[in-house]
Amino acid sequence: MSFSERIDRLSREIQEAQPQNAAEAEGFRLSWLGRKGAFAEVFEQFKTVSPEEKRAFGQVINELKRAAEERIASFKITFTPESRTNAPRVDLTRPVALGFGGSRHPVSLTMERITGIFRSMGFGISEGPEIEDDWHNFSALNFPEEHPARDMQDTFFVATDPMLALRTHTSSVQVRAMESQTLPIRTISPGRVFRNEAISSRSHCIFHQVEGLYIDKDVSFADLKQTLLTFARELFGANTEIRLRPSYFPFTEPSAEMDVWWGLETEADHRITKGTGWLEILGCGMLDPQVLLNCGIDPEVYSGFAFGIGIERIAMNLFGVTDLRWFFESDVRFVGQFGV
Amino acid sequence: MKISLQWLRSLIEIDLPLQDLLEALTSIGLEVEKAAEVHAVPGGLNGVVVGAVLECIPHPNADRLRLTRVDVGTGEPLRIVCGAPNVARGQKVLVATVGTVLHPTEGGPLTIQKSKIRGEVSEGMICAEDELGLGQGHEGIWVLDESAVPGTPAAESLGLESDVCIEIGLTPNRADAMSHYGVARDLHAWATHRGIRAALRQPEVERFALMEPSSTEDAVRLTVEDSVACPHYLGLSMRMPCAVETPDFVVKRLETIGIKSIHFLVDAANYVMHECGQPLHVFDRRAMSGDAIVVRNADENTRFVTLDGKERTLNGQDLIIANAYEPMALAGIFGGLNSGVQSDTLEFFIESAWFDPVRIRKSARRQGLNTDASFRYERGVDPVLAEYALKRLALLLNDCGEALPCAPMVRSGHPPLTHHQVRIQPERMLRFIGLHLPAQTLKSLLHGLEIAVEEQGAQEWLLRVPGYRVDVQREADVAEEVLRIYGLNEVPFPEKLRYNAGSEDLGPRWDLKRKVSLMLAGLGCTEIMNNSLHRSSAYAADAESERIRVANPLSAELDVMRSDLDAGAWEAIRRNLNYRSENLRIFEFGKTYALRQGKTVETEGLGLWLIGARSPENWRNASGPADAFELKALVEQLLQRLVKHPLSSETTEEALIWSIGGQKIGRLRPISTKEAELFEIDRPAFSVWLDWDKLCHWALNQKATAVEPPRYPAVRRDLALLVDRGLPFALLQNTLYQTESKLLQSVQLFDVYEGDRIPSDKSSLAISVVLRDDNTTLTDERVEKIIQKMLRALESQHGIVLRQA
Repeated sequence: MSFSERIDRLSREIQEAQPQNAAEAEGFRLSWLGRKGAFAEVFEQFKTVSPEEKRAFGQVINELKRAAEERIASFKITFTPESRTNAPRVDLTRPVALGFGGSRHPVSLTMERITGIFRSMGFGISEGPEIEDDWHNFSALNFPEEHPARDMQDTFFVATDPMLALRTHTSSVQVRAMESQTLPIRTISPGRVFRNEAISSRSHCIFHQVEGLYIDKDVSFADLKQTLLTFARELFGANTEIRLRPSYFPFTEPSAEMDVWWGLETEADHRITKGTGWLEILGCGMLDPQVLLNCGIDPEVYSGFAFGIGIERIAMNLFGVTDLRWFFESDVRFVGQFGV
Repeated sequence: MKISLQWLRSLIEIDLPLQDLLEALTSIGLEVEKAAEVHAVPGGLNGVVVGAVLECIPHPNADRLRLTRVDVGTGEPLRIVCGAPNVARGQKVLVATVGTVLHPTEGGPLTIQKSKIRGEVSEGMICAEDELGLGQGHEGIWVLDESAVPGTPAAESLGLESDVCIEIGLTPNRADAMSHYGVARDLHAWATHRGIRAALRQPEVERFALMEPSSTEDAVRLTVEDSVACPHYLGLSMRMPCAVETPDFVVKRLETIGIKSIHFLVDAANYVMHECGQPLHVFDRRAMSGDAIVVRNADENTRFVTLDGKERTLNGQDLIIANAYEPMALAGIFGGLNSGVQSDTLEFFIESAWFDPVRIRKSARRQGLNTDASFRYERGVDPVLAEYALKRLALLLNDCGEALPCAPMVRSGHPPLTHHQVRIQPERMLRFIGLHLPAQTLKSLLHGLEIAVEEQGAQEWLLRVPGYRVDVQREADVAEEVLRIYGLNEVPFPEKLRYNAGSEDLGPRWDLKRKVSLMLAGLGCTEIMNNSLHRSSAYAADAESERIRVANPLSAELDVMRSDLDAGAWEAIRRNLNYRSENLRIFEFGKTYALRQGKTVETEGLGLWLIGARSPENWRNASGPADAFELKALVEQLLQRLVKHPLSSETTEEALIWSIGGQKIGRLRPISTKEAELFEIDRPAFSVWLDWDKLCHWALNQKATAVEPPRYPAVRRDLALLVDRGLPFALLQNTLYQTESKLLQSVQLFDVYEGDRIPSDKSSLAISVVLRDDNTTLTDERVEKIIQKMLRALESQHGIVLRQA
């Protein structure tokens, strides 16, 4: 058998060795690396190789030796614990439980994701009362005296004081921010809002919003678009497409609604996008000059934009929730499934 | 608002496929919510085509049947077995091809299948009228005119083409688009800007002049008493030779937008309103006692029966249209039962007017009415439209019913305005949008919107805005119009995102909330959110004076703002128990509300509740029900990680109270007997409430300063103490710390024994005491001295002695 044939055979033997226990593994080690092991013999034979071939064969032998060593190391890992201790084998497949599994509410998780995105864009967080006066919830925001939103059918009022309402949007916090903060203002207002709506799978008397506000010199509609595109792509993925549609809100002019492309794959029943493929995500617009004036800001110098996002609607789409009521029923089998 | 596609296309000629047209409408702010085909007949005769009978021979196995071969324009004639006696070669017939669903006049839908009839293949059906849902005729198949072309869809051949009902979610600012013509006009502006060929076709009314008589015979006397509420009123008396049916195209178009045909006069008035946006009303001339039309405010407590048969009580704020004696209509809202047109009405009076939107709105709301007319008046009808609309209706009645005016038009006042003037600074406006446009482009965009540039200064333009654009009064409003037509989605995204550092920020509070939530979830708690609105019966009656009640609750179950977090949580626990979720650790961040000294106070709290087992059932875990200590351990674990400042606690009758720096920050208590009864909770349960504002204060206003780790080891001594059962451990602990404030590091209770080996009024407490001197190694002698000092103090203060082995 030539030298190179021998090397080939040894290489195969190394790969095919299958010791069944530590003793066999040790036998394998000795038969290769021991004083009388295979390598000792190979090295003996190597001495007889012609000087020209030595360089090439030297490399081959070294590689072979490394392969053998690796193989032996792997046997070590496989067999050591058993070989070192004589304790009976532990059944690690037995079930364990450190404690109860806790979980966070999907609305909280969604709110955090949304606020997190805007905070990364330099928006601060502001908060305000949920029981709000007429000025902050309606008048300052250009809701005329006769606006249907001021109706008892749409808004809850406090029994002892008809001028106090349960805020219908967190835009009221924006009014407070405009009144109290120094310009420029860049803030979002997350929080709970109330509407006098019957409770059903698609509507509820409480829900949550994140509203945003940016006022500075020369803020444009294009800036609004940029901010919202960034938001949509952070929330729904880098390739998200957005679409704006003209709309109407008393406190913005121009006003728009933003859709993201949701696609039609999930639209068997036309439930999510009414068959259009576009999912309505938020309302937005440029602050109406009158609203700026109402809050003591000169619209000749400053302009700004505002937007409002319904958290539950986003959460429903992110998590595939089909009934709004589940959010507020505190059934741990529902709220317990969203992890942290 | 519903729009008929055919109607719309009659007012604007535009070469645009339906889908593009719908998208265009949405893009200019007329959001298409739905577009549904409206078939002239059920199913729209889809699948039914014109066929030419090429061959017609007797069926070999049936006397009454024929075998036909029919060309339906596909090149491959169909073999159809037909039972009609009148089928013959050379006829043009209607063929329902295989797969077609027919909706016969009688019976349910019918699907045409390829079949064998008495051994002969039949690939369709030659139809009779009733089989197509087009009437009763079943004498034989329907034979068409010679000129019909095989393959033509039946609907097209019969002129029964489907219409599309486009439902638009109209925003309240779009008074200009409350009609088919308004929608067409906006679409025209959109098309013009894009270079898409489009032409508006507003029905002309010039012919009216030819029809209007000059004599004043039979003229109605018109009096407008409140010209603020009704600045412009026009009326026309007309007469028809005989009653007529509403023409087909009017019936069909109205039907498409969901309006039932009632009466020729009513239908025509409706038609013109939906065409141009002007509400019109028709009075039966016989109801106009005293030949008078009076526009006035109603007398207080006037009883008036509206067209719906409902008797209403009017007051001085309700504007009415009256005859000489009594009201005939609630102006701009609803007609009266006494004055409406009858089936035999041949003489009538048409009203076309402009009413103050606010008056209409208030009146309509007071009466709980929302009609097509009030909807339009409230939002603002084009102030110059009244005359056009009146003439248009008169002409329509003349064209279709040979109606003629009996007297010239009566009128009071004039249009409240014809246009607005708006000054804009184009450069600033475009900057506000974020667009660069040449002045010429802007101008033509405005032109498309029928907004004219009256004066064009270097900085400022003076615009003339038509009156129908009710909401375009300021530069920002013009910006909206420009943006709508230019396309919101066409405005380019800036390359950079704007950013301002240093905004005022409650972010740290939110971060803390997140941390706490994560820790609690890690400790096995699940977050819940309960409604802030709750039922008053869930709360103790004694705090009623502080309760915030809702003036207009949805129901008695939601009549107050919650005054604590517990009631909602106990209810949630009860619900979960019903579902056999029995081991619960839940928490909620939420506000509670109270009325104090006339002010509403909102307090944010963190509630935690525990019920059930102390740990999941598992072979390694200690089993048993959770107790108050379980929740205490959980909360203290949390608090000690949030706040470095030491936490102290004391007990009252019902609760354990935690404080930091002398401020109470929370409490722990078991469910009360009352609560257990009220919420039907039949097992031990515990509640914690933490004051979130205070917790934020302590957690966010502290600084973490590193302390060098001591280089000397600590020494532990265990002591078994005999203690009076009533003595709180906290007192014992305090004594130890007071005795050795410097070296004592911690005191731990590691065993409690109460039983017959010690006196019954005593507990045996095994405690460990850890001592350390940061500057030197403690010697046994020193430790012994300290322990003795502690034991003396315990004995003298609390009568505690070492338990003898």
